[in-house]
Amino acid sequence: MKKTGSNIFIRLLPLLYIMIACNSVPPDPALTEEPVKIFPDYTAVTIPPNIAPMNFQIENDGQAYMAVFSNSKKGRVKVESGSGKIVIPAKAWKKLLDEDRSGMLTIDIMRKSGKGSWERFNQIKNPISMKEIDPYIAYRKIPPANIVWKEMGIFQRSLESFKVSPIVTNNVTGNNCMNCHSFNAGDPDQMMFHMRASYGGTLVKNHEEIILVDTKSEHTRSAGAYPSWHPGGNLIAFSVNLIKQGFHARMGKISYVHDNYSDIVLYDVNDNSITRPAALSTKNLENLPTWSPDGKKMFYISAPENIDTMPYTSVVYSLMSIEFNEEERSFRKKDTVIDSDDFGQSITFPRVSPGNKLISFIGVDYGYFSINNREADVYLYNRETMEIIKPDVNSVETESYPSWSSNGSWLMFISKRTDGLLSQVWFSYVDEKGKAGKPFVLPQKDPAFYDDYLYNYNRPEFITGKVDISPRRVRSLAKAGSVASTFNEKGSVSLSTGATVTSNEPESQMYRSDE
Amino acid sequence: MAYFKRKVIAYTGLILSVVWLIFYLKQVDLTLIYYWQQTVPLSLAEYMLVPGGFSNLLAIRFNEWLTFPFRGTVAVIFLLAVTYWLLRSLFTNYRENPFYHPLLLASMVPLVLTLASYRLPMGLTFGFVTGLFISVIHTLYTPGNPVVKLVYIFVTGIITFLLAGPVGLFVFLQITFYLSIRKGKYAGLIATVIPLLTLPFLYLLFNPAITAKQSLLGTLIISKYDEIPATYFICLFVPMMLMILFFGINRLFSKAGPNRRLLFEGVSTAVVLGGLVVSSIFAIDNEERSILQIEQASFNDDWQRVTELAEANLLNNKLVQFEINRALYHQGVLLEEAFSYPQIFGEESVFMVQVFSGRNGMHVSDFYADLGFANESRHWANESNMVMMRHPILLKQLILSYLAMDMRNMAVKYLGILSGSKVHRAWCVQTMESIEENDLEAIPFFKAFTDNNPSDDFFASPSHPVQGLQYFYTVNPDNRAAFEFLMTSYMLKHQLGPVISHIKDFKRFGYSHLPRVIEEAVMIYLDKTHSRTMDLSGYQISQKTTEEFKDFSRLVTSSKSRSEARARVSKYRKTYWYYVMYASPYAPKSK
Repeated sequence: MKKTGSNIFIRLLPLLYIMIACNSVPPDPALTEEPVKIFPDYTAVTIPPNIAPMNFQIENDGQAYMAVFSNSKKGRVKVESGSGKIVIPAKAWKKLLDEDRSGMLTIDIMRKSGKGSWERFNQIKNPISMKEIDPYIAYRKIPPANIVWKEMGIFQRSLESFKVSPIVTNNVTGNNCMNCHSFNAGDPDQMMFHMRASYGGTLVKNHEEIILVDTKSEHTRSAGAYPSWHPGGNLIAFSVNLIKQGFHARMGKISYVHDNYSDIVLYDVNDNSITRPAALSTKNLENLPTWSPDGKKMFYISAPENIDTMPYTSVVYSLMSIEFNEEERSFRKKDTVIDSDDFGQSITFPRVSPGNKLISFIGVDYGYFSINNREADVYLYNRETMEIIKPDVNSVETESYPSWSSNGSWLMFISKRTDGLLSQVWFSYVDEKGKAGKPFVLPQKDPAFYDDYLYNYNRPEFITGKVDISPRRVRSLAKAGSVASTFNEKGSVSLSTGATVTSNEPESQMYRSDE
Repeated sequence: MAYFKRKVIAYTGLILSVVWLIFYLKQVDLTLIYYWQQTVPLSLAEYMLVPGGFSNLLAIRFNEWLTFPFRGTVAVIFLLAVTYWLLRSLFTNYRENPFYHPLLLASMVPLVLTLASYRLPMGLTFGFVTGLFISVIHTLYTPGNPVVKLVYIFVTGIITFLLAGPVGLFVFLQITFYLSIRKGKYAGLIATVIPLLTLPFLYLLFNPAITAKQSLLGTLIISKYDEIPATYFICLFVPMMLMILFFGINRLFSKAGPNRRLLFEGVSTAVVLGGLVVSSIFAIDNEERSILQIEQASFNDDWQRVTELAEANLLNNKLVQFEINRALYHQGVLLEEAFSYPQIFGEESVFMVQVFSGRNGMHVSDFYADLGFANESRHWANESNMVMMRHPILLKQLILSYLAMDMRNMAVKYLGILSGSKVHRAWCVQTMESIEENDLEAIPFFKAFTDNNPSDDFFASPSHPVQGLQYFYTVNPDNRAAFEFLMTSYMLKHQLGPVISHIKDFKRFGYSHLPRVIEEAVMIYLDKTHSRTMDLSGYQISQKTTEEFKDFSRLVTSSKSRSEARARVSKYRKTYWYYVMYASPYAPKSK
């Protein structure tokens, strides 16, 4: 009999049927008792309606996998995978969340086991918040070194997609050091960051005006360091510090950063001047300023004067507040918000939520530079009830640098929980009562991203839009040189107190370029 | 007949070149190229984001072949053969007759010479070869329509720029330029060349994080540790030079008879071969090769080779002296032979003090691993990693120290990355097995790191490494490495008091006698303190040392000048006395 094409097809049909049947999931696969393991862990987390697809890797053994994402409006997205890598189509994901704000996202994960049958895991339910998360974050990308630097940059990442673009990278600025980027309430048009070594100075972007300034003078022991924009947009509070670093010999700890001296100064964005107020330039170590949303109060941390003979573990900071009159540029009525003795730990990196009700901070055994302290954890202070809460967002590894989205609903912080060394960005939904939900890590396009990413996400800051500045523009500004800030004698404390003690003290010893 | 004879000359030239190459490459020591340039590659997608990244990836994979001398030689000869064939194809396609083989052979000479430059990034060589390759493919097809032709050239230019970087684009430009000139299409020259020249600037629109200079020069902008020799730049101009020379020589000899051409080719081939041999001999920087071999041997724990390679002319290099000191320790003769070497850097060649160099950090990390000082080993590996990210040696150092610190997740992460290197994959598999079987003591340094973890914490300062070592030894009094290096650093700095106070520790460590250098230090101490005897914990100074010291002292005191004294005691130049008096950076300037 002559073999025709249709004859061959008919003969192959059963085989085809078997193949299709083997890979199609039955309508109601059996439930397995084995708990589902996905990485990153996106189970039982409240998610923003505008977050990028939360791709993940299924870590349970299997031959094939399927994940079905549904919402309460009967929206459905199905993703199949042979390797367990679940990459969700962006448009479908966005629609799924957008149409069901304040609803529920359910994830049904199924796998084809070694025996060839399909089974399903327990359903994952993730509430979808009504509250959007800010569309971008800015962060410094830096490897885990302590002294030498080479490549680094400040980048912005869209939280609604996976797009990353550079704000500034040091390959265009002579491989210098750049740090301490800061925004006025997340406004991308009001930002600043420092550069050190070549093109040293502070770049201040104030809407259309961008200027590189040198905030160091004989009246302030160092250039401005840790910044905080006043909500009015006319002032930036800086700490001025003499920073030292030591390297632990015993395993388990890395380095210890401390200040021999620190004060807080005010920088006027409009006239490029610095004022050193007496209230914040004492022999105590005033540091890490942050403003209340209405700008009427400054919060900061303070520790007693540093004496060389003191053991380093005795340097503990309390949380302070001081009232501020913007018109008069005057401070008064200092208060201890949280005394470190009462709290039992040192307090660092305070940030006030936009709703003015909560202050997030880090509790650490000593010091303020908490990034290398494993015991560092996020805390929330309720200003109304004066209660300190330790939210259920912490891990056994370091947590640090908490901050708030512009609507006050999302808490962002860095955590080293994945490997104990590299900091990644985590988010947690905080409800009106101040209760923080289970955190989730910044989603990536490739679920395996964190497996071989060797950089830290340093100082992540929420921004409400994209920063309109490019590395080349920064370079051209930097090449023009920095403008020295003037010192505002009126309103400043005399030289005999505070950080400016002697002129013989060596400079802060933190980073050096690769020589 | 003449054609046949020309072929014989051409092939003879080629064969002799290959024979010389095999010998030359053995002298070069190709493993040093891998040693200097080794890295673990990223994914192909990452490399495609940067112009020339693809060529860099090819280079990284190619370098892995160089870890074996025979395989490396074959790989390099293959690369050169491909380049030769590409250049030949270029001119064969355009029927440049008569075909002048010695020129082709001569054009390979600069490329051969670049192989002796260990610090020339191989990615640049591959950028050149990739550019050539694309150019040859491009010449296989010529559209008839002039507009299509322009688009075809521009698209090829884009592909060349992306895959081979500005280097490859430069090669393609030369070939495009030549072809236009050759065909007399001068008007078309502007229409083809100008758009190609704009490509690096167009790229700026897609990448805001580089400057115009960086886009134009691409991978030609190298790190301060690397180097581009002049011969590489000659390579870049090879296509244009070949074209001009071919054209010129063809015109010159187009009227010459076949026998005259044959004679010229024969003589030229001999001259080119001679030039290749002579220039390649001088291309090898013996000092640089020896230094790299010392570094390589130290990372391979081949300490005997380190001391064998150490010659007088290398000892003004701090890193070399540093590795010699480590080699002496590992051979158990540090306190016997330390001052058999000039030690002109004092204690800086024990610690590489004030290290802020990414490259040196690797060596410092290994030094602290010698001591079993995990945190400092990890610290310096991390600092180095900032500069030389994904360097296999550093990744290994980090894996070992993170395992010792029980940070297994981090160790496994680095293992995953290191396994991307074919050279180190087996080590990664073995280490991973040890981790999974919880057999961590099988992993090198693990026991040393955990046994020597300081019981009391202190701060190790890069500015005061001796102090750090003192603290470390205090909390680890059984650590022989710490003891020996501490004694060496004291002596290098002329601090004999601490040495003397530690004499009893020699007994504790089981030394049957005081090491030679310590005896010599004791003699100086006795002399300076005007003592005849002292408690040496039961040790005796050998008669030989006593008499030699007397002789040394006599020669010095009886000399009329310092230079005369130095000459008279030169037979003692391998003693501590000579170091203190003349070789040390702290030596007195007057008699």
